[in-house]
Amino acid sequence: MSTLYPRLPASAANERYAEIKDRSPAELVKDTDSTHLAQYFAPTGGTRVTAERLARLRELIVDLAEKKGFPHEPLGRSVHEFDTALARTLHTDMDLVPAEASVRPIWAFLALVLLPDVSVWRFPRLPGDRVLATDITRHVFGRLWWRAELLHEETRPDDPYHLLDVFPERNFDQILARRRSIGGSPELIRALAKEWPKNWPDTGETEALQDVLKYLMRRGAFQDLFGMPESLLRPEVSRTILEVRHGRTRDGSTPMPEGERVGRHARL
Amino acid sequence: MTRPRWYSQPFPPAGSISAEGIKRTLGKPPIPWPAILVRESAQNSWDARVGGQPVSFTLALSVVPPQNANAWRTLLLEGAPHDARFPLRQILRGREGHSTYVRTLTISDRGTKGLGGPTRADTARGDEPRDWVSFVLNVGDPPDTKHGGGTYGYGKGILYQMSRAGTIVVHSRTMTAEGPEGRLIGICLGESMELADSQGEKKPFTGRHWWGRVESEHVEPLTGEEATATADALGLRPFAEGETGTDVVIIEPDFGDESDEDTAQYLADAVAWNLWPIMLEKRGPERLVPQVWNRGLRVPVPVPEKTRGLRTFVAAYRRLESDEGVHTLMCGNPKKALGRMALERQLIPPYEPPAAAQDLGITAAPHHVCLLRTPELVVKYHAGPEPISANLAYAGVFRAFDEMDRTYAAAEPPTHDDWVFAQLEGAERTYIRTTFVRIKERLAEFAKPAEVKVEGARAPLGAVSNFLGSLVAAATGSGAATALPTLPTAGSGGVGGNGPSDEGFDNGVAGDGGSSSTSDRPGPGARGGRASVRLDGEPYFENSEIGLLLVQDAVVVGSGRLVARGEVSITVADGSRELDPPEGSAQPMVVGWRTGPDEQEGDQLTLDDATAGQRLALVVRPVAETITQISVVTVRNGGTAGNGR
Repeated sequence: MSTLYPRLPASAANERYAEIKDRSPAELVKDTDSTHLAQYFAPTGGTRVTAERLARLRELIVDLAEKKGFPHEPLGRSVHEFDTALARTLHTDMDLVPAEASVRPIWAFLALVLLPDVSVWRFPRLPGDRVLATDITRHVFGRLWWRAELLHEETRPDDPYHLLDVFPERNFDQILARRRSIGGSPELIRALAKEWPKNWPDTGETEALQDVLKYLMRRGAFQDLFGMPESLLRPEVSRTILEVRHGRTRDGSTPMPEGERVGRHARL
Repeated sequence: MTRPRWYSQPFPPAGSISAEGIKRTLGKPPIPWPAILVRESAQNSWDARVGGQPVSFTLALSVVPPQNANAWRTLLLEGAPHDARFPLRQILRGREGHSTYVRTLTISDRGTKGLGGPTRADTARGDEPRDWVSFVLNVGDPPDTKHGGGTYGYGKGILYQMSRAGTIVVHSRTMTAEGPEGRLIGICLGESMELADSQGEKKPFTGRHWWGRVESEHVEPLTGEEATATADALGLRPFAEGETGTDVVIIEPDFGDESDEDTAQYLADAVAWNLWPIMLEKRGPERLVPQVWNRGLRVPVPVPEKTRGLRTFVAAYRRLESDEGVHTLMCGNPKKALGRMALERQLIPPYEPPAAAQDLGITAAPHHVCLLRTPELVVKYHAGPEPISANLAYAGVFRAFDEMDRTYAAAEPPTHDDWVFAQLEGAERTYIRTTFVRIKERLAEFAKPAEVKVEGARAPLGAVSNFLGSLVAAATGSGAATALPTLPTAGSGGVGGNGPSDEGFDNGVAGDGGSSSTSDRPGPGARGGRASVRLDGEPYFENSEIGLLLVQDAVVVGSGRLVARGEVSITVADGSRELDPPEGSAQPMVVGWRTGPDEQEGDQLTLDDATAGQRLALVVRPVAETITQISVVTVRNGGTAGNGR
């Protein structure tokens, strides 16, 4: 059985967002709650979360934040570190199943009712999509839970979340942007994280990742990337990465040999 | 000066090998004569290369031109024995009431040394090259060309075997201390016979004959002015200033039941499949440039780098240079490095290799390892395990180390088309046997189908799809509708996956009812009398000089002015079109349209008076390992329809 979290309907969420978006984290510390008048639960599928449990979750997250200066100091350079730790905590302690985690109103509740102070502190000037969960892949908490879900490895009990910090935020966004296809396969994403070179030679890591993903999209059209186990995916992924890497370094120095670069302008 | 004439070799008192015996040394080869001819003669030409420039190697089928026919009869029959076992006479004279045209196959090489050295066999073997003696006079000379392919010289027997007359004419120019020297001689390897001499006494002859300047017991070639003038009279191709090389003219070549057209095509394919390692453009000046001609028309020789099937081998060969994925095959006891091997995989559409490749054992998608040693001429294609799919080809190249060349050469039968450990002994025998064992091991590892171990259903996957589902539901947009009256659409094809059951066709944009039912949906601005296009059947592959093409047949519906545009795109994993391709990646493109006999380049087709039922075809170049989507748009109102791309 999983835990069910309160859901905040869109209208209530918008109202609450307008209320908090211009206030500071320090002010909002006193304006948090574990219930909301408009909240509702899924009728079946688990046990409703208790107020104690919500309080404990809040405590854990606030602890993490306080280590980074919450509520008075801005987060600054340790964003990646904080997000990684937060992703771990959310994924281990919330006891969510993916079906529940893809319900947007639970994330709205978390960001706007339980932890508005942390939300504002993490995203100063609080953009709407970070808390309203119109898009979970942008949500202050939701995106992190999913990142952990897609990258965690049960076969590594010592450190199931060791892949979490391979991709910085904007690069992981590239993967989530393709969630309808390759981004939806945990196996593929883990394979990618494991094969991804640690020291990318030049800048352009994001562009390279984009190209790798594009090539995988091409392959995915006729190869079942969802059905393959990691042991088979890794060589495929590694080959694609190598090709892109090779192609990018070659592009800079020598022009590609004729025939390979016929492109659009070739004619019979 | 005496006229050149035939000299027949009598059996000396001490005995000699007969012509039949010489011919038999070649044995019964496992590959057809024309293929052996290509291999052996190319090997001779390649061994004779001057260096620093490509070797031009030409096979030309033709007939003796009428203006030279008389010279052939008068010159080449002088002193010829009157005997049924010397068929040249009958071939040149013709039978009563039959035309007398004589077919020839000329094998020429340029950028080669020509046949030099002494012109009689009884001079001592010095440092001088003895090409003339080995080629024209002796049989079975040991090799004297460093790293040469030929180890017996029996290969030339094929030249006589191919001729119905058993006769060849050799025209060579070679560099001597006094400058270039032309040499011309005729050689016949027929059947042993008994001939009566002038006193009427019968004597046995070996069946070997030479035509040239007859001396007391041997024949000297025509040289200098005489050679040039005679070659000219016979219509042989003259040598350019300073050029050296050799022409071998096979008189009345015998190709069995094959027509000359088919034979020329076979020779062109055989050249590509047997000689590709030395034809590669990357070799620069150190390569062989082949040409095949049939009655004055050039028959293109497939380019190895661009020929389906063959280019997989080329890719494996290149891998040998790159060191990536290259394995060194070792013999354990005695310890010895044998050679290097590389393998390459490729998805290819079903196809039938040319006859010349089939004769080498490649009857479907290649699953072979090409065996090479130092001369880099194909020894054989060694078959590996059949691939799991007919479309999944793999090709390998094994190249023996130079230090091992003598061993591998010794393992070759006279036709140089295999390595046979049984004819060796000791360590060498082990090396050859181990080579095949190691190749087999590598192939087993490589061709093994991937094992998919299913660990049972796990929750996350289904749950993730649930997650995805809710996101899709949240997505809003204007859909994929287009302002143009688009006629959907063909299926897809791609080198990656294709066929009627292919995903791209089933769930792509292909749309309802396939391609046939959506033909004449009128566009908003359509008026009567406008033509449109209906796609006909599924697209199919076609081979061409620029690679694999995808062709979609189409039919004109209605009559009048027709402007249609072909569009191609790549389908990606989520079933949509690729909008933003990876940097530097290959893109599919529309090559053009075929309208009956004509072709129009570019994606747009304009027909001023299209008629209903007229057949069209859209030619597209797909990208390997992708699903390529084809669609056709009928453009209605010129500029407004957005054809200004």
